[in-house]
Amino acid sequence: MPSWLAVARNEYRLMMSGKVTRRLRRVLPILLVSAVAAMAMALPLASRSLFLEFRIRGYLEDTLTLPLKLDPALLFFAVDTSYAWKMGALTGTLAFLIPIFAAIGRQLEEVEVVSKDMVLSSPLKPVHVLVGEFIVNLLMLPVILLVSTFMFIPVALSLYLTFQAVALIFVALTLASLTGIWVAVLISTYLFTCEPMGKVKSALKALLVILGVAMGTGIITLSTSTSAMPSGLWFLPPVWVASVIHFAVAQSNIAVVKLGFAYFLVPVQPDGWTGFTLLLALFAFSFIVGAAYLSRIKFTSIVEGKEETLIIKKENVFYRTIRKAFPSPLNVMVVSQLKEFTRKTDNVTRFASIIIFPLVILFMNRMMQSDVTSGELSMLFLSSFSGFYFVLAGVALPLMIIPYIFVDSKDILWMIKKTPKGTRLLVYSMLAEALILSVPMSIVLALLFYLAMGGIGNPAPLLAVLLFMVCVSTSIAVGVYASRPIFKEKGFGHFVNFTITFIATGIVVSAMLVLLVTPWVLNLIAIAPLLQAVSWLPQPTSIVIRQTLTYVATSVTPVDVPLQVTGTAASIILGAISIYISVKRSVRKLELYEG
Amino acid sequence: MEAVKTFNLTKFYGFRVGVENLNLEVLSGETFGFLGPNGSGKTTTVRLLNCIIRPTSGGAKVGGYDILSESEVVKRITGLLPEVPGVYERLTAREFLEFMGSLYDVPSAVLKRRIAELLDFFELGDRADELLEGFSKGMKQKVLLASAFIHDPEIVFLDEPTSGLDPISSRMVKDLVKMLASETNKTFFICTHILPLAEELCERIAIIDRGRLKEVGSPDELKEKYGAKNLEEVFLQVTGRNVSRDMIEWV
Repeated sequence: MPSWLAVARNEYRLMMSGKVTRRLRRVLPILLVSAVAAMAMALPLASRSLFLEFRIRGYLEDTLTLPLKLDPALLFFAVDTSYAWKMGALTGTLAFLIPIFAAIGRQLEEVEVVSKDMVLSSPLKPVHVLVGEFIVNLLMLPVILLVSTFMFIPVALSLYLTFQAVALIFVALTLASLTGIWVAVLISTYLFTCEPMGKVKSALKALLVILGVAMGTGIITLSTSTSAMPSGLWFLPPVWVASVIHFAVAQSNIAVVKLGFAYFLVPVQPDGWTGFTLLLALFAFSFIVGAAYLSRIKFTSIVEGKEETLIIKKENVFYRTIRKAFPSPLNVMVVSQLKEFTRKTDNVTRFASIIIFPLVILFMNRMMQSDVTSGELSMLFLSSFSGFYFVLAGVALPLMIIPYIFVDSKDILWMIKKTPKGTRLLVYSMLAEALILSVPMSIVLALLFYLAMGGIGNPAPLLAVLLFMVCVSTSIAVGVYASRPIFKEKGFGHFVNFTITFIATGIVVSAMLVLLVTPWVLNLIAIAPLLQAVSWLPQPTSIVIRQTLTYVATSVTPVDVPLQVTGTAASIILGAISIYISVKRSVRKLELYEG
Repeated sequence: MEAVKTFNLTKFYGFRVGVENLNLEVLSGETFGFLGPNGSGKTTTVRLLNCIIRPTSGGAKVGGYDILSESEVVKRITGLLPEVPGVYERLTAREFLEFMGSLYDVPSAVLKRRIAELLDFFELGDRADELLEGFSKGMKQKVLLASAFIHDPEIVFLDEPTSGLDPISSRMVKDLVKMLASETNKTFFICTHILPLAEELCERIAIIDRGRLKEVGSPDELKEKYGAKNLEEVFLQVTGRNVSRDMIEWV
């Protein structure tokens, strides 16, 4: 077997070494490629039938498209084609960045688990490692295409996706993915040869987390925004992919953008073919640079870095204050846990990276043309903040801490369980630690969200609610992890725990919000059907009426005080009960944990 | 008086046997060796006797206290050096010992003095304020040994105490156990598969295999019983593990 193939096979085995994935080793590549082929065939066929059924009929019934009907060439553009562009930008970003993230992440782990001496003592040449890695990473290509196909289902529902369009979409995404994979392999080879030590490794991990959070938030914002196309981003490779995909779907470089109740024609920048040429050029450039780099690598010149010894003689004010704030021996436990968490650079950065959420939203909001009128912003702010961001921030904060506390206490758990009240103290200290870190972060987050949403309304009550939500979700997260402890840094178990925590927190927090908010916004709920009905009136009358109604509804002081007090009390009681049950369950389950 | 007494102590992990019907007596002040091949149930027994896990059936008394109903007292009077050298990597050695001492409610003035004494004894005094992540496996083992003694326990469980230690440190541990056993009437329960260590330190030994107790007695009694020259021969005969000649030739 050629050396590069042996490297590829070994990498693949490492990648698929989990309990479940091990069984799928042989069939997975075949399954993935078959699934992509099936989806590529099915999407245009389904799209055609849906297009004829819904789109044409919808077009004929849509009075707003009347001006466009005057020009037969624009007939099929009577729909917001910027949606195809948006999906293109999303899939393009994923195609470039996922391979890079995956490869760097794996390399940072491999430094720990695979002995470098084993590789270096074998007669391998750098080219073998590079080619082997590239081949195994090609597995990401069908995954990306498959994910993209699913993401294009909404496009297929509203626009006619032909076979040619799907083929062009796949070519663009393949070019982007191959470039991403190649760059990823080069980066991971570089990491292999320079062996990042201690702090550099932590910093790299941290950087990955920050980029990941930024990308995730950007994607969420882009996919959920009601905004149209951004301007001035023509130089970004995902935008080139988006331009090609828009051209493939709309067969034009002019995007039809729906802003408010009107359609506008916006030129796509760069145009489809320029985007394609730029993609090709980037692909070729990265391979040429890679080949040049490859010719210079020599495994014999690898030198291991050296760690610096850190000496800590005196405790700082932060720990001393916490030591005084809690009773003994809980204070020692909390301080020790905090030191263990905060002295690890990637833990802190991972946690702090949650600030990226509102910052990206702020950035995206500035970059994109909004179709939301100013009068509707207060409604949007309330609903976004109290709905999506509340739950997201409430769940995300504890989940940035709790799993890592468990990972860090992997080996010491038995020692703690051996001590007289160790398990109980461990649970209490985890809660305390998570709250000590989460509460200031919640305040910062709430204020940033407040600014990101335009600084409307009073942030004080929202902040109070957010803090209580964080307490509830933290205790739920501790409860879930104590019931199902996961001690590996990564793995499917974390996904399961995350899902359980997310669902449990979502249910409790949503119920609390309903109890808390409903008595205060009865007037808004009451006028909701009216707002809906008004939106069918011709412009600008509808906008004026909607804005006035919203303003009046949000400004009127609610009068039913007993109902508000009851709702608030019920919400607090529900939260308190959740905290009590979670903590009790955590202690019991962790006592019974046997590894 | 027995420091440890088990009654048909049994632990199953699903269908897999951890230990089965273990009946054992360790006398107070005795240095007791608990021998067995890898995966024979030594660590499970130690975890059961330290109330870290619960038995499937049967029971045990440690220091006269029941491991199920009086677990908190049992935990207070015992010290444990676990098999895996698990520490909080980003605490200093001093901080870690302070942490462990606090969990046993050692008064802070006493704790400070004991930490200094133990760190000096294990020759870690000059590295007391360094993060444990920079320590070698042997040095971490020393810190864990120190933590096992931090609350001055009556009964000390040492699971592979010399694992990862250099010959000097290993000698130091053996001398420590000998000294404490002779001068303080502490009971030592030592799990190991390093037979010379058991032979040198232990007054009596037990051999466990596949979760079942196979033999108990003093090293001399067992050697005589099996007509063996040393404990290694006894061990191989009791556990029935012999390296096949064919295998050696193949290698």
